[in-house]
Amino acid sequence: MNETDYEQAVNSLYEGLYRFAYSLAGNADDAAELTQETFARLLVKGGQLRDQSKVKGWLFTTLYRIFLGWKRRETSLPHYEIASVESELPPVTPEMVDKLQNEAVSESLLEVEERYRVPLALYYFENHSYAEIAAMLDIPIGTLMSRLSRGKEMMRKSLAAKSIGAERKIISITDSTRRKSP
Amino acid sequence: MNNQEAKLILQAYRPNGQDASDPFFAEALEQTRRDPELQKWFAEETVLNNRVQARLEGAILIPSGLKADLLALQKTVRPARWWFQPMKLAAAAVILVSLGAIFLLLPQKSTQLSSFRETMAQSSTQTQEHVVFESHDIAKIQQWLQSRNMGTNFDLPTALQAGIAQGCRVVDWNGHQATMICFMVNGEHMDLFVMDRAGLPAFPDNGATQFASANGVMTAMWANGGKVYLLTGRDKELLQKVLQQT
Repeated sequence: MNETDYEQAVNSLYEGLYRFAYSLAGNADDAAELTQETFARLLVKGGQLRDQSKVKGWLFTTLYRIFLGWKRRETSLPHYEIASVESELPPVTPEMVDKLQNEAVSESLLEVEERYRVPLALYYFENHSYAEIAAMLDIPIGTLMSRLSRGKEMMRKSLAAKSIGAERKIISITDSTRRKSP
Repeated sequence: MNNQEAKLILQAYRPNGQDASDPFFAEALEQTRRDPELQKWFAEETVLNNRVQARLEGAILIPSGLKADLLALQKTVRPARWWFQPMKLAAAAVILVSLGAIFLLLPQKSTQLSSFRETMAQSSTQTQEHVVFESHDIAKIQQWLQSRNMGTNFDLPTALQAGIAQGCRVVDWNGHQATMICFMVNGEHMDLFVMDRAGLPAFPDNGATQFASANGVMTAMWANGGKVYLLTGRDKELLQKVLQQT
C-alpha cells in the first residue's frame, strides 16, 4: 500500500474505526490500541488488497478479529451486561435522547450484549449497509436483521431507563422544595 | 409481507437514504406507503436513528493525537517479507511496533494538504456567517468575488451548475485566499472551495480526485488548470455522484 492510499485510509476511516473499537472495548485506551494495531496490519498486509474499495470492510473486520483475539487471551476486558430495566418502560423518543448526557447514550450502547452490540455499532458508525455488516461478521442476513432489531430494543430500553432516572432526579428536587413551603 | 416482517427489515435501513434503491428493502418500503400506521412508525424510527447516531458520534470523542500516531506508523511499520520471517513473528512485530508507537512517537506536524482540508472543512461546517454574500444568482456571486480581487475563471462541476447557489465568502489559509461558494443540490448542502495551485504546489495535477473526511464532512479534492478545488458534502458516494456528472 502506498503512502497516499494509507493516508487516505487514515483520514477517511480512523474516526469510525476508533468509535467502533470503543464500542467493543468500552474504554479509550484499549480503543486507541485496537485502532493502532488495525492500521499497523494495514501497512503490513495492505499490499495484498487488490481492490482498494475493500479497504474499509477489511479494516473493520480486522479490528473486530483483533478484539476477539484479545478476548480469548485476556479476561480483564470489561464485560457489560444490559442493565435490569423495568418491563413497563415507555418507548424512547428523540426528545428523551436529546435530554440525556452524551455519556449516557454511549453507556446505553455499551450495556447492550456484545453479540447485538457489534452489528449495532457497525450500523451507527460509518453507515455500513446490512450486506457489509453480515459479510464482516460472517453471519446470515436473517441473523443480522434479528440482532440489529434486538440490539436496538436493548439500547432503547436502557435509554428509556436513563431518561426516566434523569426526570426523577428533577422531580424529587421540585417536590422537596414544595414540601418545605408553607 | 406483514408489518412485523417489514419492521424487521426496515431496522437495517440506513436513515440517510443510501438504501432507497436497494431491492432488498423495496417490498418493505412499498408496505410503508400502503399502511399509514407502518409509515408513521418508519418516520419515527428514522428520526430516532438519526438522533441516536448523532449523539453517539458526539459521545465518543476521538483522542487528539491518534491521527498523527496512525500516520506516523508508516515510518516504523514495513510490509512483511513472506520469505524472510514466519507469520507469527510478523504478527508479534506488528503488535510490538504499534504498542511502542503509542508511547514513543510524538504527534507529527500536519501536512499542508491536511491543514488546507481541515480549514476548508471547518468553513463548510461553520454555521455562523457561513456565507458573507447571500445570493442565488451565480452572476452576482461572481461580481462580488471580482470586487474583492478574487479570480472567477474556474470550472464549476456540472451538477453544481444545476444546483441552487446560496452565497459565497473568501476563506484565508496560510496567507492564501480561497473562494467558497455554497450550493444546495437536490436538497444536499455542498460547498466548493477554489484556490490558486501556487498555494499548494505539492498537490498533484494529474486529474485524480482525493477523498478524505475532515471535521465531520467528506471532502473531494482535485487540481485542474492552475487551480485546486475542494468540494464538501455528506459522504463520498454523494461527492462521487456529483463529480461523475462533470
